[in-house]
Amino acid sequence: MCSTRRVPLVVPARRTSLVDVMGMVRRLDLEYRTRDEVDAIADLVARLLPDPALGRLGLVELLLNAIEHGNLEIGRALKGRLLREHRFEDELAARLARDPYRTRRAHVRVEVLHPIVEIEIRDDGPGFAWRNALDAGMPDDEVPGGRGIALVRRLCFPTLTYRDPGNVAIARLELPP
Amino acid sequence: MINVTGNHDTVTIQLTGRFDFRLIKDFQTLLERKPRIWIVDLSLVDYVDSSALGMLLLLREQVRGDAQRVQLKGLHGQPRDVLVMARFDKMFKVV
Repeated sequence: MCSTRRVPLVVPARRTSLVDVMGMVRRLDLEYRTRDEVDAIADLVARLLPDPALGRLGLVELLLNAIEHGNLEIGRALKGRLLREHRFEDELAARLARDPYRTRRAHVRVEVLHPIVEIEIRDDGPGFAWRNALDAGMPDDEVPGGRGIALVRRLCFPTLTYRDPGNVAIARLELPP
Repeated sequence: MINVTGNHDTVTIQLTGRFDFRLIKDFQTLLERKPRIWIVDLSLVDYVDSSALGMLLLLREQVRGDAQRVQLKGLHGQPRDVLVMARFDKMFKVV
């Protein structure tokens, strides 16, 4: 009686990582709903940008705005008040669970058309007076909120603009040759 | 990460890594203390966002806008760029 011995087939491990494919990305579409998802999206998309560190900051600001100000409709004055009263996080959680905010999503689209990268962040909220916000620059007052857009424009994405009614943020960046 | 040391007179808040929106809750717990002087040590911080600006303004409000009573220490790199851009170097004592 003969027996066949099974020889385990050794497949050499092929190491691939995100780094290998990021250069191939031409389009990304992502959907999210909560602040907990923001870090992961920003870490990924920042790899496509010319300055990943500043790009990450700009992304986080816009991604958070889409949730807090867009979908959950917490404006600058209200956010300031909630922060002062230590109720901001609780209010975010409460709205996420409540109509009409509960079913809203935010959407990220990134398109790489060398040498331009275009980022679009869209929320399901009613929009806001974005022209005023862009014109206002960095607030001089001491309300503990509402500095994100000025920060993004000055340091991260100088081309930041919005599409009416203000629920779509768009930034275009140029990649080095 | 937040590490807090001090007494009723001076409290030092030592932050490490990212000083960002994830720290809002911890930071608000801190505000229950009422020292005379707050020192915010940013020497180990490599990243701040606009939520960090908001948290610093909450500290400033707690001392009724007295710039001498909130001191920013160890400003460098990205945190310095962001804070200077927001003119926080004029609103706080930088040491």
